[in-house]
Amino acid sequence: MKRFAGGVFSEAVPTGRSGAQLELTREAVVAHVEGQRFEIRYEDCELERGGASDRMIFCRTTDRALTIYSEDKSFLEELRHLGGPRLAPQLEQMAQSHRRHLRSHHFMVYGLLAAVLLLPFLGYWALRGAAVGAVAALPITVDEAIGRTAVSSMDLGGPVVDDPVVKDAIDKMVDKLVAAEPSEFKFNVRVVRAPTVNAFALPGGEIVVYTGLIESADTADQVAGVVAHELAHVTERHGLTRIANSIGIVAAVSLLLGDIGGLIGLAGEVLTLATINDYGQDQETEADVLGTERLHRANVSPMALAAFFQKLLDKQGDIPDALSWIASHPQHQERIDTIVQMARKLPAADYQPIISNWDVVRRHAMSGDAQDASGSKTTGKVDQP
Amino acid sequence: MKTEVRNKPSFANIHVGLDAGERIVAESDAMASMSTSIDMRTRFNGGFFQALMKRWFGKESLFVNEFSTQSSGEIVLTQPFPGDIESVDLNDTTLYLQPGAFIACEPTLRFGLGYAGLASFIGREGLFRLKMSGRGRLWFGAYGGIFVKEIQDEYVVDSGHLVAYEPTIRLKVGMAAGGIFSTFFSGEGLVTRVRGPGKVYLQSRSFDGLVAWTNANMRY
Repeated sequence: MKRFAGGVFSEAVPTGRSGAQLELTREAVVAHVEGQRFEIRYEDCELERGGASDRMIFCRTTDRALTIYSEDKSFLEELRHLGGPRLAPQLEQMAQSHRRHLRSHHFMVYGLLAAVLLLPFLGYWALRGAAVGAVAALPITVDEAIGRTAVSSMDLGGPVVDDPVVKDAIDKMVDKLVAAEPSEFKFNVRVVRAPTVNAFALPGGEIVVYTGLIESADTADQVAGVVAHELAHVTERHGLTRIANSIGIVAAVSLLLGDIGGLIGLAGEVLTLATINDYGQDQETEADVLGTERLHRANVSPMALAAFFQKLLDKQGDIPDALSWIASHPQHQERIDTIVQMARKLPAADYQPIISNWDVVRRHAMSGDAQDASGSKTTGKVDQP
Repeated sequence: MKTEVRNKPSFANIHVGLDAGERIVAESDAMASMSTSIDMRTRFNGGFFQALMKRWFGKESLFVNEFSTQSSGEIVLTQPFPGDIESVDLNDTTLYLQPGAFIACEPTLRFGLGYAGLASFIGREGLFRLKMSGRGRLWFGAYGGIFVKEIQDEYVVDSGHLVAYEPTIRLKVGMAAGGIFSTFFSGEGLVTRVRGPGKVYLQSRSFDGLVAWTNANMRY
């Protein structure tokens, strides 16, 4: 007969418990302890699974006077075999509750694992969300302070143009665009002499337009389109959101690594201009949309902005598709499509050129180099549209 | 070997009288005093890696000391914190000890480190436990008094009070009383539900309780 290692709880053994050799007969569970014999008939046996390993099978009498148990794997199988119908209902119930227990155990293990894996992500998004929310609550004086500091410390890439023809024209253009949709921000525009075909906005309303942009634009409306786009970056506080995002990410990483010194160091780096001026694709698209609306309100054709992008597209070509997701600006073609689609939906309007003497302004912007060098100032009259 | 636990229960210590050829194994740093006739030999607590595991997971020392004598002598063994010491005779049976509870045993006993399960971990009783088995006497200590409870069905133990238990005891995590509110605000938090049959050894104080009390009364 097969023997199993196990034990006995009974008042009949010295300390109330002892290890025992078990055997299963046709009628009963039997335990042998140094000459003593203990027996529980199958019909009197209450089964239970337990023990520190949760793999022990206990067989107890109804009055709990005697308990026989074993951890042997084959004990349960043999019990099922020999106990037959007398133990079948109990065994089935035990197996069911064990399956339930295993399920909840697995659930707990996977739950814990998932929680551990998700925690960094949740923390990251929570911090990010908090950062973006905090921006909305900040007064715009914060934007202005950041913009002022940035513009005074950065290298604009060339001298500021003080030719009144150019300056007044751009001022007028900005005034018209701002008047179309007033905001609490005070805008301050500088024209900077550099071949860059670009304009940018800093938080708080500092806007820089490069002569390269003026020279390459066919009409004043095209420049107005770009400026309208930049105004949206200011009014939507994209710069601050960007900073808050970056600090949020850095803060999240630092929290995870427990590195406070690194957090302070990196926060300084985040506040550099490269980052402030580098908006995300979503922000660029938002600025395109708002810019288009502003142009329409100012009675300037939004198609001018599309035309300008078309010009850039013809000149530079698009970024290869594979790289487009990396680029901060959406693809030119995509932007053109967005603007054209929006413009079609706008109510019909009798758009007027924003500045009528664009050729004069352009010439002044182009001839600036020679004039700056000779020190002579050209004064010109700018026709108001 | 004559042994006696003195100064029970607050500052219990074990007086061991060794005769020639007798040996006792003790946790390193457990020796408080001894006769000059006693030889001490230090060895890893099991093999090197086993010892490392016990150090990391069982909060036991990397080394244990084995005391023996050619003639006769006495040693006094103690534990670092105030509290009772209990001795148990293992009779080819097993006893699980909570991390840090082991003080001494006869050299015939085997040490093992066992995974205690998630329930033990969540109930803050540690992810691992020391498994003592074989035939011989074992001494373990507790913070505060030690009381033994013979469990038939189920019994509730607050976390940090469990010191040792028999392998027939199953640990389950549970809430002290029904409801989340009492779980968080009763000060009992999660508790361990022990299910018998079998014996559990409990300590009347817990380190968690001491730490919480000390923190609350700390003047910075």
